Amino acid sequence: MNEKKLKEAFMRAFDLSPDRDFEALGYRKIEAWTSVGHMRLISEIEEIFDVMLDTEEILDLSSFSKAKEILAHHEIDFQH
Amino acid sequence: MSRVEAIDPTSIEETASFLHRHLNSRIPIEVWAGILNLRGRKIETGNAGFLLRYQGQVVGVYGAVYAERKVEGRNEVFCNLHSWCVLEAHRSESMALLRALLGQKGLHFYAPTTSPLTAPFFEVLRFRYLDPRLCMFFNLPRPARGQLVSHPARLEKIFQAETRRIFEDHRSFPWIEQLALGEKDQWCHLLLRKRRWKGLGCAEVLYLENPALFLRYRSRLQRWLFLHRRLPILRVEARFFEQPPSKFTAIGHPQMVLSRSMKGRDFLNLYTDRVALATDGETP
Repeated sequence: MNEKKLKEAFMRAFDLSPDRDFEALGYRKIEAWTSVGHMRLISEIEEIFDVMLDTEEILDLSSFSKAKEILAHHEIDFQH
Repeated sequence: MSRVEAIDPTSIEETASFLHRHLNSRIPIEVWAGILNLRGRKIETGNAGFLLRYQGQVVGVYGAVYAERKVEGRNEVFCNLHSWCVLEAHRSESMALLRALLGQKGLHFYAPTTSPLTAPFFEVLRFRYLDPRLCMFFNLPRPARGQLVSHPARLEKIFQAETRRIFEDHRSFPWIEQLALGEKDQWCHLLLRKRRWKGLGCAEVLYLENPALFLRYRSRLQRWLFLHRRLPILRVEARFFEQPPSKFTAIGHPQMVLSRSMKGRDFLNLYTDRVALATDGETP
């Protein structure tokens, strides 16, 4: 469920299709993941998961898997 | 993809040249080099900010000046950000410069000159705005207590230790006027800059060492500004005082900070682009 929500955030931020390989996504690795795109992604993630990331987390969030790792610190479970 | 590098003494010349060409060509290269060479701390950080390099060329810069001083008895290090400029073809990589800067641990970050383009980034990154109010005073030639010293040779005798260091570090900026305000052995070090406000000449206080002394001898400063500099207006940031000393306020340029522990008045304009960069007509 949370994995689906995270994919939703990425799709909204970067205008991606659902069949994208999300695990391969990374900052500067796709055209849409620019500095401005990054801010959009942060905004989407915070809204969808109702969390507030701190500066370090915002800067560290450089891939889909890293996003899961960071959200796990906010007690968002991706195991189920 | 471009590479992020620390700006060090070997890259200052090309960085200054890049900023002159792409950020503000009215500021001479020597002035850009001046802020990149500015050091406000005893221990070197190893960078004057970071640059983006692509195929051997500088394509982006974010400058920083580091300043170290005691706040409430503790040594604190401030990272004063300035001059964020990235060529359009590489703008998608701008964040890499911010990551390099903000990834440095244990610092308090100050962005004294934000723009409508950069402020949204800082907001997302949890920077907060400083009190933007400017206290405005009309200068009059009234009799006033205290003394004002402006001659550099006399200032050298008055300023000691840390104050003397600040004085020396800011001497090379001809658009900055340094003064001592007070009397006997109680002096307040000031840094002023000439501005315009609503078409009137205005003295902007960029730094004041001692708010209580400043308030006690403010009239002496105002008299001197009126008679010797022909400046009818004095303005100073409200955040330097417990209570704003004037009911007449204006709103200044947005300034933003990132720190868990420092208060608004702990962020000084020393060692920032507000003192170290000239604007139109100010360079000799």
